[in-house]
This record gives sequence, C-alpha cells and structure tokens, in this order.
Amino acid sequence: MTYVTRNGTVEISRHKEPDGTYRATIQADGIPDAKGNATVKDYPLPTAVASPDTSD
Amino acid sequence: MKIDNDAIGFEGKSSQRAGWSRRRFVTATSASTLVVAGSAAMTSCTAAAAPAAEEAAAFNPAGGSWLGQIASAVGASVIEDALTKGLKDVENFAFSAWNTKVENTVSNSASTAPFTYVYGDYWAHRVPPVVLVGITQKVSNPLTDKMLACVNSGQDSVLFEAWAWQALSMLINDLTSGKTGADLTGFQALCLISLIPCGKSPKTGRVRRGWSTG
Repeated sequence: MTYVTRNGTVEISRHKEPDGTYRATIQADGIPDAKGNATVKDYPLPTAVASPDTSD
Repeated sequence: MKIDNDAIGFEGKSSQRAGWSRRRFVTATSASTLVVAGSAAMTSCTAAAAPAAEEAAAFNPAGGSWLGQIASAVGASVIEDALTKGLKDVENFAFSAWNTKVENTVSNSASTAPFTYVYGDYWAHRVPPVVLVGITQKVSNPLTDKMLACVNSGQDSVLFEAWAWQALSMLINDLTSGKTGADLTGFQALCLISLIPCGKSPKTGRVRRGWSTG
C-alpha cells in the first residue's frame, strides 16, 4: 500500500518467506538515511498476539 | 454498523468501554513546533532508527492496545465516547467539524472491510491532521484488526491492513522508543509529518516485483 504524508510518500509491502512467515518492508521518503535516500526498514510480522506485559 | 464496545478486551483488564481513558499519553504540542522539531530530528534519525537489536526483536506491535500504542507513540490524543458523542476538538483543532464525514467514512470502511465493529475511542492529532480508528471483528484480534486513518476533514481515508499498521508501528517504535523530553517530541514530529497519512495514495506509485502492496 502507498499513501502520502506531509513529508513525502510511504510505501508498505508484505513478503512471504520460504518458511511460511511474513515480513514487511516500509519505505519512508520523508525520513532520509545516512546517504540521503529514503529510509527502508524490514520487519518480521508477528505471528502471535503480544502478551499483556509487552503490549504497552 | 454495529457497535460493541464490550467485546473488545484490552491488556488483560476489563473490556474497553466508551469512557475508557488513556490520557496519560496525551500531549499538547503546536503544529509549528512539531514541524521544526521534526526537521531537527531528521538530522539524527538514522542512528535512532537502529536501536539495540534485542529491543527491536522484543517489540511486538500486535498487542491488545495496538491502536493506542501507535497513537500515543506519536503524541495523539484519545477522543473518548466518539461513537456515542461524536468527535471533540483536540489541541484547538476543530475535529468536531469532521464528525459527520468521519462517521460516514468509518461506516463505509467498516462495512466493506468487512468488519462491522469499531473501537469506542478514536485518536486524533492536529498534524497532519488525522483521526485514527480501529476496525475489528466482534472480538478484537491484533493479527487481523485494521486501522483507518481519516484525513482531509474526514472526506478521505487510508485503510491499513493488520500487516501494514504492524510495520508502521514497528518503525514508529524504532524512532520513538526510549526517547524523552525534547528528543521524543522531535521524533514524534518526524513520525507525524513523515509516517502518518495526510492523503490517499498518490497517482503514481512504486511496486516492487513480487511484492504485495495491496
């Protein structure tokens, strides 16, 4: 999915890994990295609900 | 649209009700201050976006209070009783004027989601400005719940599937976790202007080959 912010575009995508889990990549044009390019971060998506102790 | 606040459990406490408050998260910062602070935070965001690996690994965005977690991380304010009493103004911004349009947008999105329940409390921030709403099935499930960001006076909205708001939540957590004071304010501002929607999809976008963006 793609949407606009006050400071550029954000793109979030999802990818299925060979082991069946999913990862998400989020690219934020408005947050530059060390080279001045859009920040791109990759995260494993949760497979279970967080326990109450870690959810807040 | 059917409203069922009692069906939504939070943090192992009693079910969320319309009057439930998370005001401990509420902050009040002017829009102009946020933009300036966000620019300052941008200069050092690279280092901050790479927290200790163990901290990042420990964060699971799919908690029972996932919507409040995202909203409070960027300094949004909760609007209590929004479903029954409508939107209220926040930080001197007239969200109450958005009420009818947001209500229609939420109803349409919830009915087509096709989830038919929404959270009792909405969250709002005057920057961009935005109203964040959780859309859920009868019993909240952070692995499938959706987030609706109402923008443009409530006329438009951006619907986040669970995986999308989870990714957003993790990046916001990377940027704001462990910050305090002016440092936190700056990174919250950066998130508000660079990660929180102010509009729908641009006319042109990039889609990586083999990746799902829908």
